[in-house]
Amino acid sequence: MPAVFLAAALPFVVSPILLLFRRPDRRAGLLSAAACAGAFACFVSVALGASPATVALPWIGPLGLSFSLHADPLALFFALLITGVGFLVAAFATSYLDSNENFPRFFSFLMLFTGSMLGVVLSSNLMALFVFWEMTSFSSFLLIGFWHHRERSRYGALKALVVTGSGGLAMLLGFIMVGIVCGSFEIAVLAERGALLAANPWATPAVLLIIAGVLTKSAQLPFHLWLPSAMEAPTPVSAFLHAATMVKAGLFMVARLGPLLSVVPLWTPTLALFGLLTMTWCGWLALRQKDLKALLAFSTVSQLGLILVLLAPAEPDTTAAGLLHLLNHACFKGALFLLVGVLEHELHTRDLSLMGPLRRNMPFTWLLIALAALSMAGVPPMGGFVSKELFLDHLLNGHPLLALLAVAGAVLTAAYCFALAAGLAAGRRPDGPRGQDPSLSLLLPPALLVAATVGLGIFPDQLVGAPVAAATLAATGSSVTGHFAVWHGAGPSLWTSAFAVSMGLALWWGWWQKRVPPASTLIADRVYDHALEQLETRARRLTASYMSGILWRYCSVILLTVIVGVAVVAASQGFVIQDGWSSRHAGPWDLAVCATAILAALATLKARTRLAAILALGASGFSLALMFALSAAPDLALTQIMVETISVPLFLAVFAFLPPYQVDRVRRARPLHAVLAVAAGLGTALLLAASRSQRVAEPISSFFVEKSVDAAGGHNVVNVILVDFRALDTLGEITVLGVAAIACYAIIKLLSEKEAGR
Amino acid sequence: MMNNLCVLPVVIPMATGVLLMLTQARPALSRAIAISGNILSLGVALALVETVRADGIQVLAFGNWPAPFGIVFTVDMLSALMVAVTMVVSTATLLFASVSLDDLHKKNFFYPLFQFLLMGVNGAFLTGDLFNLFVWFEVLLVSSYGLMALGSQAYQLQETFKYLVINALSSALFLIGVALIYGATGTLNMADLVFKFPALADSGMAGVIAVIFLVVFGIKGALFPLYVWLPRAYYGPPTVISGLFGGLLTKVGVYALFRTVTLFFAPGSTFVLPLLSFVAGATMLLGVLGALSQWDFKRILSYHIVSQIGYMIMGLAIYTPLALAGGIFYIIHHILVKTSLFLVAGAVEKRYGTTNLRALGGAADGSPLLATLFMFAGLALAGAPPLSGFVAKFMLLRSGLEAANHLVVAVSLVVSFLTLYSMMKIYRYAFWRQEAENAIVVQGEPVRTFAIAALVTLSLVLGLGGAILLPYVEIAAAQLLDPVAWGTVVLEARVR
Repeated sequence: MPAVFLAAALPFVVSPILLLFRRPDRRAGLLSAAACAGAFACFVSVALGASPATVALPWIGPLGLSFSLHADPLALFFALLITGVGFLVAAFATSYLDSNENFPRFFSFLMLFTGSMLGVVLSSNLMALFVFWEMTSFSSFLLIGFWHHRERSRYGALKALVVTGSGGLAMLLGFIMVGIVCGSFEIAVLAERGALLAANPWATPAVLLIIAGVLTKSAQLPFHLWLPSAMEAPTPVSAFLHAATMVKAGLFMVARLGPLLSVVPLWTPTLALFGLLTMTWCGWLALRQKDLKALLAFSTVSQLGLILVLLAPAEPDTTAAGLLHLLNHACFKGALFLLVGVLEHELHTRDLSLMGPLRRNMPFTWLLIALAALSMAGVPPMGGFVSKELFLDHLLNGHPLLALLAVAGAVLTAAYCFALAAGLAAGRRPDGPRGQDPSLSLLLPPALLVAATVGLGIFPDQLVGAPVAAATLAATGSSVTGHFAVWHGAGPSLWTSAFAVSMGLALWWGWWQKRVPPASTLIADRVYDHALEQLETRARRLTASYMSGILWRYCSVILLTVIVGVAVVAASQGFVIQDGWSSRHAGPWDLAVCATAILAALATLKARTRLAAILALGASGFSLALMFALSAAPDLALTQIMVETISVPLFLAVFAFLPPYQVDRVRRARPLHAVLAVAAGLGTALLLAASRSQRVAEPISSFFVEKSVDAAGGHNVVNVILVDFRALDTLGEITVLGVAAIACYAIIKLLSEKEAGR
Repeated sequence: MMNNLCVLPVVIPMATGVLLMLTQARPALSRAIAISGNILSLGVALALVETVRADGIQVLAFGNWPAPFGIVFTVDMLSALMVAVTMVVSTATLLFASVSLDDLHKKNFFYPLFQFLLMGVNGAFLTGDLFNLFVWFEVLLVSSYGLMALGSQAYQLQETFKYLVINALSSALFLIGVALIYGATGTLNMADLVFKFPALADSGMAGVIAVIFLVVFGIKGALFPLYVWLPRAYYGPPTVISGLFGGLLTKVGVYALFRTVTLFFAPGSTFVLPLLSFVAGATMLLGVLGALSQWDFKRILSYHIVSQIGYMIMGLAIYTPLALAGGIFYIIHHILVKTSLFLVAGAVEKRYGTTNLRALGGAADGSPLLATLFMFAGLALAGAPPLSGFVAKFMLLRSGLEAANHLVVAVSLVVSFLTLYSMMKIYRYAFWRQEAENAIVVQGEPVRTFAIAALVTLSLVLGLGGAILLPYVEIAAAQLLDPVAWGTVVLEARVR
């Protein structure tokens, strides 16, 4: 079995197995960690060339769908990141979760997510990619709502699903459009057909739809609202999904499809603009949070914006820088989330303004937080510094306004990083809750991530130079020109960087220290809440306005539809009635029976009690039977009599349970009813007459007359039709009567039993 | 090709139903007989599917009266697939019902009525005669009245009555339509009509008849604006019966639309397909908005029946091979998934005694397996990957875009989203939150769960293994799009 397939399938296999564990069994976590480690090892073997990178898996070939996996360097880059962080998070969560939590469920969902995320990066087919993309949204929904008894968890889970789910649907449409235009859903084939796309008028709408998917998934403006709410998830989930991996699916998509979609001029500037705006605005929002997880959430959004800016141009140098920062961010932000989880675990609060002096109480925890924060701030020699240098380099060569935004973003980032690290060091409240450094099993996973981000700062090229270069080549098709280094020489980007860090320091020291500004509700949140509320209210009003539960209204709708429909079509299709449609003249008896039927029908309308109405209706029915008898159809007449006989008692049984007979309620609608009734009656008569006049073929009935005696052996043609030519109809009708009889019997029996029981 | 196999899906339920009337007093025996009968029919249905795939359209002329004169059963791929899926869901429903209905129902003709319903449904799928179709509709309707009213609760009887009146109205319209066709063409055999009906286009009669039949099948199939009767009617009976109705009955109307529209109403008509396209969009949208307005598990599902029918009609309205195949895929997917959702509602109701979302809660803790099954089925209903709904929706979206029918594509995506939202509303209220106090552990839960799991697994199989079903629905679509070939085969079929 190819290692790629094994690695991708492992989480999906483990996920249901985990559900078999008993609730408080921590081994579920160990198994998950082992699965991640196993997958990681598989990917390493693929990366080293020890195992094929491509596996063909069919899905629905004729529709162009396949589940084939292709682990090119870009996919491997992400896959190693996912399984690596996944391993640490699973190990962390195993000790982190309280012993009364539902371990099997948590880790099962976590593995479902891991598998889906691997599917996103490994799929070589756009539709399979979409499948896994959506599955990450669903598993994220389940994980955010893990503590589902909390209202905020359910709210956050739903919001994440609403935002990413709607974006996903937009993206689906975009994908299908791209697939139709380019004639394939295979990403490798698509990459060569950019010219086809560029020449097609669908290109722009398709790209906009895909951008919607990217922005929602990666929580970019104006869809950033879901990520802070998603922080209701258990902290390991926040670290894994909402910092290190899932939110980067949008970025992965940009890297993966950039070369194809950047043929549309809109692609790069739109993404870059949204990325920059998000970076700056959400940096500002992060600075205003007191809740540590909220701070980290906004900071994540802001950092994702930064990476998006780098990936948007689909050029090798910026892409390499973007990938490096993506890796850095996964390390330092993953670590920060885990460490905040430790704080919450120890101190039972996440509020920055309630924290005691951490440097004294929990020195190791604080040190790790500080190192990770410094990396995020872009302070040398941390990993964050290296990639942020490259970012500033890129932006300083661009439009001055964009450069200004970028610098502002960097300043804000530095400011909230200092707020985080230094704010925790001294603590706002000397008497705040005291904790102590947790056990090694909780500290080791974040420590490893911090070590990684420090290492990435000191030896960036040695550690990840080759993989990033390979991934860049795979993504953009061209090679990186430069290489990573912590010391780039004293260029404008270094000065800008120094300026940003010192401005950030100043901002924190001079302003944030003195007054923690309160966080207000997001405008986007208010829009979201209002929209959902309006949706439900309006849906309710609209539905209530026509779903009355009143029978005559329903009948009116049906009759109106058919009458208007027939009238419109008849008028527009040139409906004509030809001559010679009267074949039989009515005699006095016919007229008398007709009059009786009409009078009985009118009497039904005028009846003051239900009983009278049913009897009058019966009279109308029996007149019809007479009419059949007069038209030389005794069989029909008998059938009609039988039907009347059965239906009257059935009506009687049901009527007992209807509300009192209210003639008044219907009075208002009487004119409408009269019009409908007359139109329906006259219309039917007219149509029936017309159908005879427009006969286009001889009726088949002559066959019955010819064959009745010699082939079927009967002299009464009607009887022969009933019991031979069309005996199946008769069988069906007999069944109808029989079933009606047993149904009546059962209803009446149960009714009388209930009466007796009362 | 003549084949006696065609009649068995009608004969077996009829015989089983009659037998079951005699074993009323012994529920265990009745259950065994009913399930055996179902499995037998299922086997026949699968054999029919394979026969049609291998040998093409199968015909059976009753009494050996040749095609336009006697009644024929015409089994093409669509018919065979519909019968097969009918037998699958009805078997699961039967299994579920056997452990969830009380003796009150079982000893009062539940099993026979159930079998007669199947007889009518299968007959409607198999027949090639317009009047005979009417007869099978009556058989299934009268059985459904019985099942709907079974229990004689006041609400049930009220709603059954409304259902009955509306269906009587629709039957009357059906008869008028049949009379018009016979008056003008002198035949009722569908194959014969393929050749004779187009001549009516000049006088406008074809359009009028099309409208009448669209309304008739629109009432049965719950299309805009004719679905008003459905949500309340399907709320009344025991949930397991709602499940069978919700999955199956409206689809008989949809099937009849697919059959008649492709055979005679769409070819040569300028307005039928655009009209259907509009109706499809309106049905989807208003149905899902109705679902959003509800706070009851069963009522939400009932509105979704309406909404989902819009997708099937969308496939019909786009009218390309891929679109029709997608529509048929959708029908099959929907029957399985919708029934399984109703069965989940029934299992939840058994456990907590209510389907009111505000009173429910915590079922994910109380019954995790049920929650998982609901999640799968709910996502499948919303067309989420990689379940069966996604494959069907993908085919519809793709064909809609290819046919440049942008409006209905856009509406269908919005409705997908709202469906997902609505399913998650059920999940959030019934399955999340603190577990409701009134949980009662009742017998039969393993059997119920098994029945649901079987249907959900099928949905997953049809999603991941869509390639298995695809050739069949493609054959079905190809047969629908070539009515002349269909008519010729039927008219020329003779005993070997």
